[in-house]
Amino acid sequence: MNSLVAIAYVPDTETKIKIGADGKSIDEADVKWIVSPYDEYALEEALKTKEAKGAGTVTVVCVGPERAKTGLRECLARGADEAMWVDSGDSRYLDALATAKAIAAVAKEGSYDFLWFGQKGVGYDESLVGPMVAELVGLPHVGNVVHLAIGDGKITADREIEGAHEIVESSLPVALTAQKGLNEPRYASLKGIMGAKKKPIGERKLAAMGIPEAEPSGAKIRWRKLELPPGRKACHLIPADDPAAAAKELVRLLREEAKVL
Amino acid sequence: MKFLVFIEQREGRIRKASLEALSLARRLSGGPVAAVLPGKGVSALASDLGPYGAGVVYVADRDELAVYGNKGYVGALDAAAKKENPDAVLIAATAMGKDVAPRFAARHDVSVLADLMELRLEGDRLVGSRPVYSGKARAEVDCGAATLQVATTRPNVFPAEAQAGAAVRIDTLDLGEIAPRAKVVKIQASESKELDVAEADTIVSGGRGIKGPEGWPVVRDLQEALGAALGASRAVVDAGWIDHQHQVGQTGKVVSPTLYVACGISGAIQHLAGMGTSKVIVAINKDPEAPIFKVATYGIVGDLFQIIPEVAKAVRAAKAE
Amino acid sequence: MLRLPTERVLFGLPGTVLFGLVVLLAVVAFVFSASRRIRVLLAGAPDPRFDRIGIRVRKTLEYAFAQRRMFRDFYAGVFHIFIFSGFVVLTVRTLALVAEGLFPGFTLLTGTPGNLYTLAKDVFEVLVLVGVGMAVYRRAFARPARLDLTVDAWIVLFLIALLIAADLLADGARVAMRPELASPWSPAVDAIGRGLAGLTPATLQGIYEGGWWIHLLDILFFANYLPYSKHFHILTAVPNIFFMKLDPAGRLSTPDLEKSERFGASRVEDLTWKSMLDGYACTECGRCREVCPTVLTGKPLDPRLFIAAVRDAVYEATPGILAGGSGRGNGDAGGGRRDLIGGWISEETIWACTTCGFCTSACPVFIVPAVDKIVEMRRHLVLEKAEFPKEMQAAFRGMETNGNPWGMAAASRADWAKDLPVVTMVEAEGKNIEVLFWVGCAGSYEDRAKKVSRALVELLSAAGVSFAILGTEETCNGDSARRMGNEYLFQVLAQQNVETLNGYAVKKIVTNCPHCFNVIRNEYPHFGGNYEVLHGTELVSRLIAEGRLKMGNAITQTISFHDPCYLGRYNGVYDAPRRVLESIPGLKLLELPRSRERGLCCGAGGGRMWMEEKLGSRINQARMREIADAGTDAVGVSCPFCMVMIGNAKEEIGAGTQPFDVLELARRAMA
Repeated sequence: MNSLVAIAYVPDTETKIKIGADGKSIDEADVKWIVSPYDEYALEEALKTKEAKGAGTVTVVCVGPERAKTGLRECLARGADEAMWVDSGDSRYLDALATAKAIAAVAKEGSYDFLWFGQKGVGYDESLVGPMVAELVGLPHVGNVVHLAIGDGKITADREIEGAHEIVESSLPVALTAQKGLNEPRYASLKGIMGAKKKPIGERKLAAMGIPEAEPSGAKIRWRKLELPPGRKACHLIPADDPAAAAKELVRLLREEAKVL
Repeated sequence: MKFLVFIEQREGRIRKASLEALSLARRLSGGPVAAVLPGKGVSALASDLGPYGAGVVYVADRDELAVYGNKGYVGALDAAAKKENPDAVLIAATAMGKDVAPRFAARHDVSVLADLMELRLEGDRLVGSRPVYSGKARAEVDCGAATLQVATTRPNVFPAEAQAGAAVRIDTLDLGEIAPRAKVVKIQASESKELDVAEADTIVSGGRGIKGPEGWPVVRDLQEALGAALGASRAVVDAGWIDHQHQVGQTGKVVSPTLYVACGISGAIQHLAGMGTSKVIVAINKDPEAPIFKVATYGIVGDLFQIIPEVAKAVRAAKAE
Repeated sequence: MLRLPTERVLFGLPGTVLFGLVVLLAVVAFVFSASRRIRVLLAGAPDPRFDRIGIRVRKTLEYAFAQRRMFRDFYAGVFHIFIFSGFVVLTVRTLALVAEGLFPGFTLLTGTPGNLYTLAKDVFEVLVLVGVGMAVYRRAFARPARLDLTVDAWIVLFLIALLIAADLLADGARVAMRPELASPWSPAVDAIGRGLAGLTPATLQGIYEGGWWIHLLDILFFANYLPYSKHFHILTAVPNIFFMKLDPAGRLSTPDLEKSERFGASRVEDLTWKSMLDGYACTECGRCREVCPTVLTGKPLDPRLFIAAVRDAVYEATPGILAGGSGRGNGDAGGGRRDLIGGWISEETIWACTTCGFCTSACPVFIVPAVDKIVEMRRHLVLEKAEFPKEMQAAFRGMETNGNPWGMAAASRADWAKDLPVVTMVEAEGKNIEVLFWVGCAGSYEDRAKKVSRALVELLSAAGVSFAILGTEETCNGDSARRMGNEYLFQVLAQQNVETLNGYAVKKIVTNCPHCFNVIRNEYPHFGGNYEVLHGTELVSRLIAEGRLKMGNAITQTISFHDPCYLGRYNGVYDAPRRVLESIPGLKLLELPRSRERGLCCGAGGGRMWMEEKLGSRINQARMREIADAGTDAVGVSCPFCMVMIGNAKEEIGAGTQPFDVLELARRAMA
């Protein structure tokens, strides 16, 4: 069973985000880049499927600038068989639809039973690309998968929603987005790392793929400005002489200021 | 400017987040807007949308739509859009909404302004603000060259406002055959097993400050009030006060919930390594020097046995509103 | 007429011929056994140990012949040297008797040398019996915990006692038959002769011949028993000592990963020949387990059993290795052999080691029971199979992405120094910097260790030392990665750090973390990094001695000191922290019962800081109990890992003794 896994190469979650000179993107100095964690669950599941079936290939694809190749190599080191780099040229924000169209084009060139994505990429945090690709390629999709069972020509997926799980059955081929808890991503063995250095990475240019959204003039999402949120200020200490009042104040702040309640 | 709002319902109850999106659409457009309501037996609910801003409700009431299915629900939205011909489509960014919006948008060759925390109009263009890089920055976004503007709104951010409303016109959608390849066969509520710390959006954690396993009921009270998962520091797991599956930290689980409440946890580096990227951190500890206060958003220095029951009470009161 | 034992016909053959055949058979059998053992060594992985011959000879004389380490347990040292020297001296007698057996009438030594030798023989034969008696007493009655009472040991003691007794009786009988052969040079034999005087000549002749044959057959049998017994050490101890590791204990091997086809050790053939020899040389004395933290807390790792498992695995693999021809890496080593990892040695055992080095420092024959072999096995598990305790992955990722095992943002590595008078090497460009302060991951990110970093800064500033830090150019030294088996990650980090340090032409480094200290001092030279490395306490004690720092404020407390394994045992730095403590007025230093070379590990080494401790009881708590039992107000530590472990243990068991870093106290005492 063949899988195509789309990965995003994003800033490590520990990185301190600084706004770049153009006010619309991040300052990339000092940024450590990683494969988005949700994509790791996707890759791991694809690798496990290949191992369980004893056959099939796992292809990873990434749309991004030059550094994306490092992320692809990490995936090859873990056991992916092939890698495709769609060179987006520069680092600026790329419309999810453009990314999806590029991946859809790659997907149509192969014959894949599974199209895997992370449920979101921890850079832009949009949760768009996976379902968009499914729509463009004409496949069913299941999002937020925390468990997958593969049957004969179909799958049963456990999809996480608020306060419950939906058990979804789908025919193959299918697109899936991976949620935390799906599996434990493996660590690459040194053999894998060494082997990955020799595996080729296919290359193509996004600009040459005829995708209008890839150009700033055709983009259907634009970043006008990037700002830091009102600072991670010093801890807001709530006076606790009256526990009941302190509690009410805390809840009020969580509701109205932090907007998490 | 014409808005169409997707209304989510499950088991006959309309999601509050959809009412928030509906109210927002009314505010932005200056008057009643269109809504689409897919489901089974939902026709009766359509009029409930009036006070929140619906002028016309496109209803898709079919047996096949009893439980959520992407093909059917996106099909309903699509059919409504064909009839209404909106300029903008708003969807609440719930699990369902995040499933529906991208497929609908791709079908119409447009993209989505996703998970917005702010939204305004500049002329007839939507301009929103959304969190990026795990909430460490905010991007101001618009729809660029798109003709149809699609946006999803983060739940619990925009107010749902009920006003004395005019009557709602119901328009029944004819969807034809619905033959999905992906079908929900069962819905399993999470009540049965303990919510997994690794997957939860809200976590309440107990540390050495709870003094012993007898301290858990106090922490669990708040956990229940918040509908959260229960976490623990390494110290209490090592002491045998709770099972290892709850351990948060370097050698336990690494979590990144929206809300992390640390009760009686000092915040040693091993623990921070496991929850430091939480969006909002609340610390309750009697030691003002505890390192957790350096990373917490909100903190209360005091006796957790007195404070936490009050917080649980206040949370329940707020949720009841 | 005194007939010599082989001057008669036995079983239809002339005695000399029969004897000759027996000797020949024994020698052939011995050569066969010994050569098998040696050929297996040749199949092991290479390990160059033919360097620095002069030092090796000296150490052999010191430890194999003078047996210095044996005298740490004085009673054992005494009886062992009796038995050992007896064997050496009696070798001449054995050769003489064999010659006599083949050529009756032959005497090896005559005249004064003969007499002197006769006296020596007598004295040493008695000493051997005394030694055996002492050993029997220890095994039968005293029974120290480290000893395993095996049949093998009793057999050997019996054989030794038998051969000596047989020889004395034979000689005594001979003298009884021919009183003129009695000599003042052999008082013991003489005494026995007198005791046997009343027996008939036939009986005496029987005793003489019987004793003679038993003595020699015992020796020939014993020699052939050795390669299958723990007493193989008689033959292997001296070479094992000769080929000892001369490199610092804290320097592990550096494989060339680019050129290797296999990583780490998963089969017997992957072990180095020296590791195999270690197995051959083990006498099962158990000294290595006496202060082993895993043995004390009920973990599956016991160094004495571990090295025995290595030896047994080698023995099991011997037929296969000898049949399969040359070298390592040839095809599948299977063929019904028990796996080395998972079979002979469980994975739990492999992960349990804290690499404290006690077992290595305790072994009288310089076996490295665990550390190097365990790291080799960990390398296999991590680099080849990527199979290891889950929680280690977070530490690896942290070091890979952000340069510290906690995964804290690399960009905030220097935040601890924000409001301190500290410059980075970049900022100090052009200025003359005396010493580079290598802060380390703990010193940069961990709360308690940051306070110690701060203390050192204030001490150095007060003393007028010009220093700088690397700031965000510093990355993890890699100690945890290497000890956990992730050699690739270690080499990447090491190369990066050496490049950075050499880029600034750094000559002198001071650090508060013994793990950074050990790695930079002992392991970075392999990567081209050669620096003078000091621990913070070494530099501060020097500054105090030079008068550049005054310890004026008193701290009136009793204090003990917990020796960090990587500072003390690994690098011999025991005194510097004590000197600092002793220079603080009011502080009274009390030595813990297990301190210095016998210090008990805190449990965090070997990468265990980053792993869960699920088996047995807690090592840090065991150490804390010892510390608390000593009853001092405080305990001094000089390592961020020890501080975390001891500090946590204090909370966990509610102990009264408070841990302090030595430099924090120095800072407080600073006038």
